[in-house]
Amino acid sequence: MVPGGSSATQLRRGALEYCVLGLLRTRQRYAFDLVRELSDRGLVASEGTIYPLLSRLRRDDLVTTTWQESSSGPMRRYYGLTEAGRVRLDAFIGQWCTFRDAVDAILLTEGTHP
Amino acid sequence: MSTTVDPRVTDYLNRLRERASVLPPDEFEDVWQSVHEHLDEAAERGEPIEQALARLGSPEAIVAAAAGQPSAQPTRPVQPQRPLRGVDVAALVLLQVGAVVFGLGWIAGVLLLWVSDRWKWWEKLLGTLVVPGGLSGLVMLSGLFSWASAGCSSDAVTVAETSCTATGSASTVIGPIVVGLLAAGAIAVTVYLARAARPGRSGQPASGPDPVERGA
Repeated sequence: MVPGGSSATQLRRGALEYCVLGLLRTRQRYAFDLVRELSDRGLVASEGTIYPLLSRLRRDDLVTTTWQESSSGPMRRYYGLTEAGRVRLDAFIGQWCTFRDAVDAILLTEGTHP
Repeated sequence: MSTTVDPRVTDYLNRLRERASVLPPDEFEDVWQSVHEHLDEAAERGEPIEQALARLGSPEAIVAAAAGQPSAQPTRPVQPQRPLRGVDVAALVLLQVGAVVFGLGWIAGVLLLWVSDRWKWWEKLLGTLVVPGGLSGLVMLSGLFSWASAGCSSDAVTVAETSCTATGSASTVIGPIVVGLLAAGAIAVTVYLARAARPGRSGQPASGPDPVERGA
């Protein structure tokens, strides 16, 4: 399951929406599969809490939803990335790499050479 | 098909509805509908209900997460999404009782059914074909049955009395059974349609603006 602790929660909170955008970068995804993927990767503790995030991303025009026919059962809600979402994601990737390198430099390098 | 809903799912969704009522209506509908679909999908995949519910987390956690999201942009109002709007209920009612108005009410019901985005095409076909005229049509039909059998027994004394008695007695037995079966079918289809109704089930559009916002 998801690693516990409030520091992990804090980290996830900031990065989760970009992980959503990142998963949608190359293709549309079925809502259920999207949520399961984030959950299986340990990025979210309660799957249900992703839906308010998805709702907000849609209102902010960063993702779109479409309904697609399924082979069995009801229509499925798919999420896709908008152009604005792509721009937001690319901007974050740049910031993230800088941030990650800076944290790594302190935590890993400094830690191994006391 | 989730025609038999586990009481734990119903209970969970009711609790979510209750807790989420503090959210803006559009956000509430969006989240509630999504969680509903999620549980439908889990059931469809044969996942144990308790496991699916545990993975979702508590309704309180979902509402807390929603409350933690920045509020909606005021420039993009979203229509509240109910599974059944007044016009959809009207369609289902007219399909069953509309035929009393010279059959026109039933036709209006069919039109409303096909215009609505709440059902898939084959569900609309089902609603149209089971049963044309609806329950009120069946009542009129059964009236016609008894009139025909009564007319037969009095008028046809001279002409082919035996065959007439045969068909007459057959219709008095088989008639009510057929009408009863058709009525049960009509009621079952209506109940099914009421439960299956959901925004955007017609499937259009494949791209472009969010179908949830159609008709806004």
